[in-house]
Amino acid sequence: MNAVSNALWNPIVAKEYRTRMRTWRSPFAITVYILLLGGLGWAAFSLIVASTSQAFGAGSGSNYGQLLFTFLIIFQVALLGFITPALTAGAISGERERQTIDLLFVTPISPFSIIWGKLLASMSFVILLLVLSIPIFSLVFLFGGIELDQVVYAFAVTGATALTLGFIGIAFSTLFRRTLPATVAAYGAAFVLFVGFFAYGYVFPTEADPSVTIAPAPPAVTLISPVVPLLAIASNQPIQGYGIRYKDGLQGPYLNKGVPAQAGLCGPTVNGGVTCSSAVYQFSFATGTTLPSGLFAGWQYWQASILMQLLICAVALLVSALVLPPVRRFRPWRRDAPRPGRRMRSS
Amino acid sequence: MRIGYMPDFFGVYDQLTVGEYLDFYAACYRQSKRRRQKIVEDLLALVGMIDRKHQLVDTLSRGLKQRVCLARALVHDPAVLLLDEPASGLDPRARVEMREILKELQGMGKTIVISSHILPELTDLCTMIGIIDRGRMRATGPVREVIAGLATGRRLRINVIGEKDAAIEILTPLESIRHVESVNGAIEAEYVGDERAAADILFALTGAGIRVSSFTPVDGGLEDAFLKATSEEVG
Repeated sequence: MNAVSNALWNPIVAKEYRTRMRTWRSPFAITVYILLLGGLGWAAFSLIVASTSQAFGAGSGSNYGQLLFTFLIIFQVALLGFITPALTAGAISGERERQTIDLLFVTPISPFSIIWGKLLASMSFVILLLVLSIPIFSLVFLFGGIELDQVVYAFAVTGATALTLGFIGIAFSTLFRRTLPATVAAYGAAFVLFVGFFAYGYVFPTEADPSVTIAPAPPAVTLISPVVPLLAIASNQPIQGYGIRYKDGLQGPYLNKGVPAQAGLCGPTVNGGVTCSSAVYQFSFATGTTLPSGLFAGWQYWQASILMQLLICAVALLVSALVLPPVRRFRPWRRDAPRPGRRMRSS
Repeated sequence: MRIGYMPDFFGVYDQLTVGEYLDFYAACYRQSKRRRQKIVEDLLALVGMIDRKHQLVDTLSRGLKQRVCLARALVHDPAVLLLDEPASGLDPRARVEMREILKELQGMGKTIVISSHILPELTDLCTMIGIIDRGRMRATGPVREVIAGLATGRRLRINVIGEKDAAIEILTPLESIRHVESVNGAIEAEYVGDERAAADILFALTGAGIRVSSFTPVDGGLEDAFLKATSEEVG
């Protein structure tokens, strides 16, 4: 076997697959997941049909598809936010509690392989859930309004989010000796990832001058949360009114409009945005799903999101790999152990 | 890679059969798939658990788990086995079986290092012994020598027919005898010296016409030696 197949298929992975799929928990989790996702899809669909038919007499099919997709993709990532920490937070601490971790340490298996194997096994389960949800998502295509690439990008963001939560879960699992605090910490981290970074855009939005010609974008860190990138993918346009504060508070009238009301006065800017001028002020609005400015100017929302999540993964992996080994080569807080053979003075 | 380690806890996974459990650790020791099958079969045969191959490890009794754990320590065919408390928590039958397996391993030429608090078991199993107290090696050497070297004095249990008091009177003045007492109908005598001294004592008794029915050297054994070694003032 070469190095790649060794890394992909180490004994930990095989063992994890066996033990994980033999319990009733895995089929139960899969069933609940599909039922919840399908149930929500059905409920959202009925709600959309009911509300649009009453309000407008006839809704357009493409809108159904887009709305349904938005509901499903956000609900799916939220579900994974609940499932992934549970999958990984007990990975290492569970081995500690079962006292099997020492037995693994005495084998030639490297701590990195242990972490990698655990991660691969739990991520495979997440991928299984994502694959199982494809039939539900395929319903969206019945209505149209969503292209295949949108689904692919949305699944990529969802997968990256699950991966990040998985890495964080493993990191906490190595940091904490017990599974319970590790699980609590992993859920805390999931909350920060989803809600914290999303709320950041409301609390500390980008201050935009109405006279700028380049359209403003929300602060880059807000894209760590999958919510905004997913909404941008689903709606195929930037999220208006999020993460940007216009001086003079003139953001209000345009909050729910993709393009400014006075389209006739708008012209394109150099950076993919639209500049609109009214009698008094000039405003800049972003169009398309490309970030018009900021750290990731010119990137898609989802690209920026995935990159930042992968960075978090790398940090979490580094922390896990440094903390897990019983004999640490890197120990900043090293204390001198008593030398063997020297008499201890106990009294 | 040359050391097989069996800790004093089992460390088993649930939802894994005995065969898969051993196969997993063999794979961790980078044994090839084809070799692993043979290793698992051989080890299960060694510990007498072939018929349990498909049973879940977690459902085994303590004695059987201990045997599986011993097999696990052997998956990479180590030259040295490090066993931590192999007999603790086992019922007498399981202990005897464990000892038999260890003897078989001994016969296979493996060096077995056992750390244990259950001392009497080890006397007939071990060739060498070391007594460690508070991180220091107090005594080391072949088992008999360590016991003999640390014994305060040797003891004899003597049974005589009838003339017990007369026997005590004969024993007490002897040069090698330190102390004589009557315990449970037998005479226990503490003496100094080697086997020759013991033979002289027997000769003195029988020469005086005492009818000796049994004459047994009583070993304080490993436990006495251990207590002696660990109670000594640290020099």
